[in-house]
Amino acid sequence: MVTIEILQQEDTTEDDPTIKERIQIQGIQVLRITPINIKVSIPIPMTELLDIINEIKPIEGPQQEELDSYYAMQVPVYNDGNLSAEELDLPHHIGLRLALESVLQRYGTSNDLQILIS
Amino acid sequence: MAIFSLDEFKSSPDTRFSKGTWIVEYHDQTHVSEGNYLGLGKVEIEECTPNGNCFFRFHPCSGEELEEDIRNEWERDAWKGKLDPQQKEGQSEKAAQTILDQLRESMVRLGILQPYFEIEHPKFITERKFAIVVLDTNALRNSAVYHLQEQFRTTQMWIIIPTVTLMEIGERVATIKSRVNDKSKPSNTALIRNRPQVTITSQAVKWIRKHFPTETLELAPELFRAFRGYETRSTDPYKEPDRISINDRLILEGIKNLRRQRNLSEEVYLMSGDKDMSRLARLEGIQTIYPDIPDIQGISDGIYSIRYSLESQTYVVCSIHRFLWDLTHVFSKIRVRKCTESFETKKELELFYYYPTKRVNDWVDDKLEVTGFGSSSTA
Repeated sequence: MVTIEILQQEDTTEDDPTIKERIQIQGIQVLRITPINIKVSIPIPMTELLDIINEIKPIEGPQQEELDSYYAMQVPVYNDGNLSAEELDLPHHIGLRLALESVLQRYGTSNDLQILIS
Repeated sequence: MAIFSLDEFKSSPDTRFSKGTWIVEYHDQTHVSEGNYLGLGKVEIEECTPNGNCFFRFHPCSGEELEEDIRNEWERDAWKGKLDPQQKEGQSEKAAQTILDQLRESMVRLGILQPYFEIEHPKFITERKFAIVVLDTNALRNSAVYHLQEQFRTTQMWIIIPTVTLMEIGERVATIKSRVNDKSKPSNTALIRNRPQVTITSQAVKWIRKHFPTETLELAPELFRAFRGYETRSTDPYKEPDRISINDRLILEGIKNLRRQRNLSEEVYLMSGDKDMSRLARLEGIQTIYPDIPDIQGISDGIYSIRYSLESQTYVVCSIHRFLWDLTHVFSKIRVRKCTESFETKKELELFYYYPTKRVNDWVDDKLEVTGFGSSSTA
């Protein structure tokens, strides 16, 4: 499972940043995705997110014997017009990229935010 | 050749797609000469899982490309002498815009293009446990209610379909039938806009009934006389007949009656894809939801078949099969062929809505004729 947290640091305090939103996605494993695998649990400024999204790819070209690990298994999706979740296999890197693109679309203009992937 | 339901089409081993670029084209016997196809765009299949799920990007043709294709079609023998150059210019521009509008509506229906909802008081929806949403014909056709439920997960939507909307579907059937028999008019490209009112809305009603509590908004008997069908009063096929304002009025009066009878006020929303109707309804104190659909021409990377919804924290996926299925309901015949240099390895598939042996049950069960790929072969 991957957890994406949107963090906001209050200007006036030294406290820990507050979590604006937390997203958890079943099945996706961040260690199979570059460059996210080296940024786990490190806060990333929202301004850098687009560059990271553009670099996302599987850790290396999938070998036949690694095919099973190439796909995140049984990720809940709304498939073909259903409003209840079905389970589908999808590549780890595509799953994470799409989630981060949605985050960028919603929070991309807020320069004071950070994103934490774990 | 086989007659398939969507589920059969998706699961058949004969209709499995593979990675690569595919060209999507349409043929419509009402305005395209026999054997010819006009391009709609390209599908780039990026990934196919071992169990046959494909993730793809759709790159629609640009307005200019569509226009050129249409003008070339009208250079053919079948159209000689039927249009002067000025007509060709104007009609091809309108036809291209109609095609682009239908493509973007299709992407919204498929769930992969999100509309932006202009809602008068959005917090009323989020604060309530339920909302009553009355759909007009446009809203029914573009299935924006799917996105509404996805964006307001905690609110139970109660859907109301006005009788007028259902009557309009019947009227559209008659209009299409009358125009289909006159195949020699280039202006029949306007049928691309009318056809989904019939082919899609009837399926949309079934889908809504399956997913939401649904009821019909009846008209008072004395108001039935005011209903206006689609009898032609205009020589311009692209111009909506003037019955619109009367039928819109019937829907608005129906909503007011509903609120009076059940003592409802803020819970009732009209969802309309028509800006004018939304504006008029607000003036009369009816809350509206207007789904604003983005322009697909502005999406440079193409439209991806999967997106992540932050609201529902779930992926929304459209299969390649459902994508082609929906396009066939709009354009009547869809051909998809793989870009390949070798003629021997040419792969193509055709879906046809109006196949000659289509029976009543086939219409109800939403079946299409599928040709191509050959038995037990994979593209």
